[in-house]
Amino acid sequence: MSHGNDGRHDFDFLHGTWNNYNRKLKERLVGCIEWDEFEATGSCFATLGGLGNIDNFLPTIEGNTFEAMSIRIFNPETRLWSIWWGDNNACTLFPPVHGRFVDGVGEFRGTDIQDGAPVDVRYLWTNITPTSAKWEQAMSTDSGQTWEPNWEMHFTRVS
Amino acid sequence: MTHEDDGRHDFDFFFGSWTQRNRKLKKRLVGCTEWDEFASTASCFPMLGGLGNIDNLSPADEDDPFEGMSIRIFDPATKLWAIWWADNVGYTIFPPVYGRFVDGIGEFNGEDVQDGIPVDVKFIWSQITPTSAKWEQAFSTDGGETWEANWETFHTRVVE
Repeated sequence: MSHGNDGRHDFDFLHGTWNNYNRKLKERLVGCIEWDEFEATGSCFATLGGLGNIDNFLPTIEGNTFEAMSIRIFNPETRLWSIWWGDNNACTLFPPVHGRFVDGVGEFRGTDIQDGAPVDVRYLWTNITPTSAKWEQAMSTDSGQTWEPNWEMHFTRVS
Repeated sequence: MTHEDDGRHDFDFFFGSWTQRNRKLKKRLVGCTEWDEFASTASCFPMLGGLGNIDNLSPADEDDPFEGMSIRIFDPATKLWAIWWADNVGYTIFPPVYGRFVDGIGEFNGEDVQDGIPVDVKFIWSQITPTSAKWEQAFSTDGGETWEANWETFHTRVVE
């Protein structure tokens, strides 16, 4: 296998500038079925000589002060991506999720703490085209038997 | 204290482009006294609405594929910065160091594992002027009683 198709290019589609339509569950892991909807913008660029990338995330809500970022690094030895989320609300980087793309679907898993409870975390990247993509986050409190999606981003390319 | 002087601006000096002269200890924690020297470039930009920043580091030698980056996030609750290092050799983000600036010196401490050995890690930012700054990394295996410096970076601002 050449370097070219070991997975290191699997996030190249995300380089550039995007609009994001967001659906975010109002409360997590309490049976909530109400979602907030809002628009955001983001841009993604390569780092670490192409083995990583960084994107920012900025809701376009009047008065918004929230900003977030994702940092993604590919490990050529495991052929897995690790993805860290950070934002200016928590003021830290969250524990990473790890995974890869198979047949156009990227699945990434990790563990975290939500409101004091250990949770499994899953990111899914799907519906990837040159001009659009979907990201979804879900959490599980039963070791992955059932998942509660709590955030969807529908990406539309700006440039 | 206003937001503006709680420490969140203490890395603003680093925004922009820099050339760097590096001295890097050839081997760590084995009494080595030989240093590699190399030049590199870096640029630093704000993230997270100004509560964070990221810089990248590329060796000036184009044949050297090494690239590194630092991620810094300020926590207004603790008034501490957390700093993570990542590079395309470790393929990961290393455990953070935490600290702040006092009287122009930034000291940041954390823990990591070097060649299987638990170590204390210290970053020191010093000699900060509008056009220059020094960064140093040191490790300790005796709980911080003694430190071995293993990487120094002397920064000179690129005037744009």
